[in-house]
Amino acid sequence: MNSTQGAILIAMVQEVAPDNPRERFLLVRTGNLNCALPISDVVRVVRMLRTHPVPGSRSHLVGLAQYGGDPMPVLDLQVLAGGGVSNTRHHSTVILGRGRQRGHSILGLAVDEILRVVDLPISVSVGADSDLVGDTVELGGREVKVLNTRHLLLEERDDKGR
Amino acid sequence: MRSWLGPGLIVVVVLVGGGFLEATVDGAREGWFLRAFLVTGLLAVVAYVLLVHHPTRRSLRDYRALQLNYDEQCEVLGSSLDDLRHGDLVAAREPVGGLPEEMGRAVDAASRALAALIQQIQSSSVEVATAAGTVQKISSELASASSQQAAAVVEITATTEELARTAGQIASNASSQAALAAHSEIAGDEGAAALESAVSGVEAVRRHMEAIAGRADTLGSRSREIYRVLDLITEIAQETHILALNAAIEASAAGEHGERFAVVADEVRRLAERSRESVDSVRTHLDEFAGSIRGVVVATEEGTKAAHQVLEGSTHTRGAITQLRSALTDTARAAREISLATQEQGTASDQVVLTLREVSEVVQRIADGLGQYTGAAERLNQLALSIQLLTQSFRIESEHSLKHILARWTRRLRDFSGNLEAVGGVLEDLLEDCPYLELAYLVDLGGSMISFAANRDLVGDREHPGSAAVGQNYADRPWFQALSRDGRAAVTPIYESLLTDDPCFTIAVAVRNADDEMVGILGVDVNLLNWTKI
Repeated sequence: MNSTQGAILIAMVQEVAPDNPRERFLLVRTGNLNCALPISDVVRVVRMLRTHPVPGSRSHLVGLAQYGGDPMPVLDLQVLAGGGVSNTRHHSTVILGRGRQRGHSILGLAVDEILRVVDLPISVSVGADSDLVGDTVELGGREVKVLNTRHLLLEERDDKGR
Repeated sequence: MRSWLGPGLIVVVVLVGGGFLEATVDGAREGWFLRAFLVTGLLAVVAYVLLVHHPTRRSLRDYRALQLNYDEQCEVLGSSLDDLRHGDLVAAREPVGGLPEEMGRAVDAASRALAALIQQIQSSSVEVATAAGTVQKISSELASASSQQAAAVVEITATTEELARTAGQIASNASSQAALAAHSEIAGDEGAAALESAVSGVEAVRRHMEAIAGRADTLGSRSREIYRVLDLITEIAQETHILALNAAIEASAAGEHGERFAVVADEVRRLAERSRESVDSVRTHLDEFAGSIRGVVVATEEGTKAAHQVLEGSTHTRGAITQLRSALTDTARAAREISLATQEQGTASDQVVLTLREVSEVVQRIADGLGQYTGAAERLNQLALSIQLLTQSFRIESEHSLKHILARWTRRLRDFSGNLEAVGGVLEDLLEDCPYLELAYLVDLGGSMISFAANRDLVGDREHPGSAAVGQNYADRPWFQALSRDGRAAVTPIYESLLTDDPCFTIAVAVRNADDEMVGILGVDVNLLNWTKI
């Protein structure tokens, strides 16, 4: 289900649906937002890394951190997901990356809490490449935004290309 | 003729005897006897005439002359005595020349002595009146002062009685105060004992509080250690949680080969989550426990502080009770002393009241006596005035004899002959010379007033009554009638003056011309408030 206009689709899903094709997501919380990240884009979860703010950068860029000996940009997921700047306490960082080879670009998402790994129906769309936020599903009585982290990695790559 | 009766009778007897003898006798011898009888009779007649009749006639003539002289002297003496009877001692002395020398001297001496006596009585009456006036004034002042003193004594008595009553009340109150102080002293002892017990109890509570605070502090320390352990467990749970998530990520990356590992990783994650939830639950309970401990600590601190305050207050209270007990002891003693002193004061006040009542009675008696004394002085003054009036009924050669003074002034009015202006001047001079006179007037023989003058010093600016006016007739006045009747000076009884409303009396004397004929009457009204100036 595509929704370029940001329409909200509320779907009743189950964490484990063995009979249906499923895709695995990492459920995180940042501020009041609950987001589901495709686990295929997640490299590692770690505690909040020490970041160094970049002067003149955009508001969603928390700063630069060092991970595995390489500099890594850390983004504020809440700002990226459109939740605005609110009282967030970043305790964890989700490290995203394409492929698991060394040298691939990675970036960090600063979140408040990493909840767990959930399985969502395959019908749940993560949206187009140009969209960060895809469908919104209801999980355990809470709204969960399904994110297209690929978009971030593309942008990050584009930024590196530029 | 009666002087010749004796000799004639003898001659008749002789002739009758001779005739009888001639008729009865005969002879010569009897003729001789008859002749002898006749001769003897004749001799007897002659002897009688010579020896008896002539001396008797001479004596009778002398007696008649003496009788005439005696009558004249009796008339003169009667005149003098009549003057004396009318009190005119001056006139009584005038005809003494017609009396025998010794009698004249005796009358003159008697008149002088009587005049001196009257003058002395007159001056004495003035002195008595002056003294009586002084006594009256002083006694009046003393009576007034005594009345004020009596009133003051009554006030003092009332005040002292009030003081005695107040002293009684004070004594009663002091006794009550002493009893109350004694009772309070006992209560203070009991209070001090109770306070000591309370202090001991509070001290025990404070020690218990400190022990509880120590235990709570120990619990706090233990809680902090538990917190550190919980933090460590939480840390491990979080690490485990992250580790499980990364394992799930790795299992997901492994595809189907990682399914079972993903299940394990999820169980580990759940375990970590449960551990974290348990830790949170423990932390919550521990928070509550720590909060309770902090409450206990705070409560014990407050309790300890309150116990300290109670102890401190108890210490102050103990000191205050000690001072209060001391003060109550002093108060009880002072109250007893006050009670005794006020009882003595009450007794003394009662005695003072009794004494003051006696003083009040004495003062009242003195005031009454002074009132009587004032009345006596007044009566003495009246008596002196009466004596003065009595003496003024005499005319003596004295400057204090009104009749004599007026008789002297009448000589200046002798020839007034209608010159009213001169009469008025004389009357004015008379008032100026005699300031105790309030009115002087000249009345003709018909009783009409010719002229008068009023003493402005006594009368002032008052209008003259209708009776004091020229032409007014005084013929009905007693003094006019008495003077018209016998020509002697007249003195009236005391009456109230129409001019001054003061008591006064009138003296009227005749005005005589050079021939001693009465041509008018000079009258004066004497103001009795100034009679001592006479």
